Amino acid sequence: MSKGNSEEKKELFEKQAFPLMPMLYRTALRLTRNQADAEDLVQNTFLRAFNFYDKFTQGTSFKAWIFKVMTNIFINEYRKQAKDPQKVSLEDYLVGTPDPEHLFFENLVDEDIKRAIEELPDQYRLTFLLYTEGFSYKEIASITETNLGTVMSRLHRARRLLQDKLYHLRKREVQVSEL
Amino acid sequence: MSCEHLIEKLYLFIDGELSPEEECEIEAHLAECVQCLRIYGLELQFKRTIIQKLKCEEVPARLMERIRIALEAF
Repeated sequence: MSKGNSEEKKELFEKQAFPLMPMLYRTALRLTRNQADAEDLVQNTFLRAFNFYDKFTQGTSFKAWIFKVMTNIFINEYRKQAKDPQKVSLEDYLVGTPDPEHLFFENLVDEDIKRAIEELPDQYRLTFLLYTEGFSYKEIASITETNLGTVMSRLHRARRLLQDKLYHLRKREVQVSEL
Repeated sequence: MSCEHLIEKLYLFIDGELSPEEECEIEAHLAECVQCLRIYGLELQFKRTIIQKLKCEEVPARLMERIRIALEAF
């Protein structure tokens, strides 16, 4: 590739990729659970995406493509290294999930929400984070290389786990404030 | 449509994943069932709250710089 073409390619890539950095970063932060790893994950995503930019088909969703690049790096590299603190049986966890009517949304603390998401098992966390970034079920299935049924089931369970966790955190805060 | 069937489809409705016909069925049920309407409101609020709270994360300036420098190397 000539120098001119290479510069054009870089310019186009930056124009498409940089506006997505906030989305990629906040997703990376919740996936890796720490700032240093999140920054590395985003940087690796940018570099790998740029390396394989020729494989991206212009006219299709660049956002979905670059999230897929990040998902693959997370699954293949970070997830293998990280110890997953969630060893609780899912079925045990789901038993006794409270009625969502009792959730006090307006009083939910940002840190509680982030913590509850970070405690979700990897596959649920990844699916749920892609969902919060506005991807359709079909796009999530494509990014995570799974089928629609699995995406729906993971989202359903992720919501239940989050609601349960947030309900208990909120209940504890109310009890402490009443002491 | 029964309440049970609506609850099964509720998130597909909230997420815009249903066909226009199915959406109409859900809307018709919600217009008549206060109980389901309340659950719909809570689930919608849950989704919006989570998305809104997650958006408050700033990208560190040094990360932007790191990536620009790394891309320069290509």
